[in-house]
Amino acid sequence: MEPVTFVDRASRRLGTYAAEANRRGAERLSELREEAAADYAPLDAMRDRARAVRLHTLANLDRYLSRFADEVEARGGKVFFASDAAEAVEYVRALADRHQAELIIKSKSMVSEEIALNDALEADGRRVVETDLGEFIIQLAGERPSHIIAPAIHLSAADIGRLFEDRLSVPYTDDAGRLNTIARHHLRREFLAADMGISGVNFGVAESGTICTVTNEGNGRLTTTAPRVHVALMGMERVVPTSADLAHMLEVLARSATGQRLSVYTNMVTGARRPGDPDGPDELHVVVLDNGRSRALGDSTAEILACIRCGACLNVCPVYRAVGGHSYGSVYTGPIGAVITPVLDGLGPWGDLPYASTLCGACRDVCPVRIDIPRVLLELRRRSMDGGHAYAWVRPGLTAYAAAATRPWLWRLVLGAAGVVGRLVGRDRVIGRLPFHAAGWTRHRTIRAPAAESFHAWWRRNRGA
Amino acid sequence: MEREAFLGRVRAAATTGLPDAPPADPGLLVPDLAPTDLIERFRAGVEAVNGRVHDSADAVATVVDVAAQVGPSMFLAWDDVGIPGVCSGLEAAGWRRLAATVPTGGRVAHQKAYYPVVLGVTGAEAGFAESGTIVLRSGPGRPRMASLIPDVHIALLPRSALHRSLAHWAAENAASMADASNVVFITGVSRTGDIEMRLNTGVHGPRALHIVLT
Repeated sequence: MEPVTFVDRASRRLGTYAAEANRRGAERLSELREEAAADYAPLDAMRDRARAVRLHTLANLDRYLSRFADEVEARGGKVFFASDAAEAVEYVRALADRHQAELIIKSKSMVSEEIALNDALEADGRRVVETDLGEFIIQLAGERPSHIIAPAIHLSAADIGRLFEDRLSVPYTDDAGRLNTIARHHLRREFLAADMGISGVNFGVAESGTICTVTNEGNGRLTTTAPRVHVALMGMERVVPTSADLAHMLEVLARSATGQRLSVYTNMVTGARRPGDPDGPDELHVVVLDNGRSRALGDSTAEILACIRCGACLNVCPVYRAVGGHSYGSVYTGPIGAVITPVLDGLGPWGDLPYASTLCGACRDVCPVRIDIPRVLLELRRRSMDGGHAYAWVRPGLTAYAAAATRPWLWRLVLGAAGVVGRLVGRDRVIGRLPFHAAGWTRHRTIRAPAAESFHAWWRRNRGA
Repeated sequence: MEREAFLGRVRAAATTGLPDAPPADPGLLVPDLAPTDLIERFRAGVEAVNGRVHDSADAVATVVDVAAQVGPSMFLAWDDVGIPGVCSGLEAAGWRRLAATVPTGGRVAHQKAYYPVVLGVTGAEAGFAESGTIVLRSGPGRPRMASLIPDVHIALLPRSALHRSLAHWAAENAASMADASNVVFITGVSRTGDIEMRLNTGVHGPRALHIVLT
């Protein structure tokens, strides 16, 4: 049974292969991003513009969404506005039913994970096949993505070899190239035979109704080309006003995500197959999802909707690197997951996620749209406390700290006592457990023993008059 | 949910959440490079993403030579790849061109014939030197599958269609991104790092990309 708190999930994973693999992957992706940034001086200015484009779109989101829907429909597509996950799932289920879709292929969509679409379609007796290599692997394993752009980063090639041997009836290999070839041949048959393709959306263009999906493997293009029906799932915040804005965002996205100048396949779909087109889907449906986003748009967390899902904040986060993606327990992981999950799904189940951060600010420094994630984390911690969702020890602990920190005599008394403790414990030692109300602090971390001499005392002795 | 109710809720939220500051257009945010040979820059960009650029006097002969590495067998192609004689040259070398128009009804049966296709030959309407990217637009006689299904993709690109970067191209042509049911920017060969972050090529799309300048 999966633990319900972040710290318990993380404690279980610290030091495991999966957490270690998440760290290696995150570090590598960070290096690639840094190389790309060093190689491309205008990136900082491009980030400023990317932020401006995203915030302007959000401030006028109803107008841009309305235009987007008009343009999609003018080109023969259908747009469905889903208030929540249930409405979105219901629409796709009904569509699959109408088309008697037995085999459904999917390219990577975080929204589909968010609304748990596969489970619903499979419950209806349909076969749903993920085609992004990483997503395909974790689907076979019955797991969740541990990284927003590298979902199976936590599994070893040997794990994957055993999985393929077991589920695809092929001889065991742990050679990454051969595993790749096995997946190519297996999925090729599925692509060409599928009745329906479901994709995510990286950006929707308001002025033209264009849907842009970005992949490196080509599965996004196959999913939106081979089946007769294409369903695109789009978080309502993913629009940009114009094609020129899209061109700008693409360069920022690829560099931030993987350090590429552009991803391999930047695919723009504008409506379904047109008269005379030799191929492409006969029908296009776009599902625009709210599912908590309008609530965020109306309050002080609105800027998180500017996120373009590049994953750069995961890669630099010291907490993500230590505990891995699965410790978050949510679809969206890392710093952006720690803010977006409680905002979309409520602080009730996710009140501790805003604490899954050291507030070091590395996420804000790399964010291609400069989202102030630490500010939002603090705002959510405040709400978590006010709503009674924070750890029980936090409020009494902070009350005690505030009492001491605002009374100089008490502060000196506490420091004096700490010095005594320091002398007893010894220099450079750590304390594993604090007593009384302070016990919460050491439940999941150790604390260095206090110095035998306080800084105040040291200053008086060395620098004092 | 009804569209108007959905948008009404968004409107109410959008007016309280964020101040609107329309982004000023800062112009081209790309470095002002010294004039260099666009073809050489393009070649470097394409090779960095595991593709090849062929700059020869006889493009048709180059296509036939490159194709010979994997055939002759079956291929998919655009009707018009920018210069005459490409498909007939391949057919003369023993290649068989597969029909690429998906019939209404019978789609799956038609597409299953693509399974053994090893070569796709297409045109390209623009190239971005800095990133090594080519631009393909779908339309009558231009199947999307030709650049997607085969192991090897050969694209014929006019030298005159080279631009320095996506930003330079977009400054004039951004709106044309919506002028077809599909426009794709292809930057190198199909790739993934999904298994232990190791680079693997040819996941779902082509394993090899040859750009022949015309």
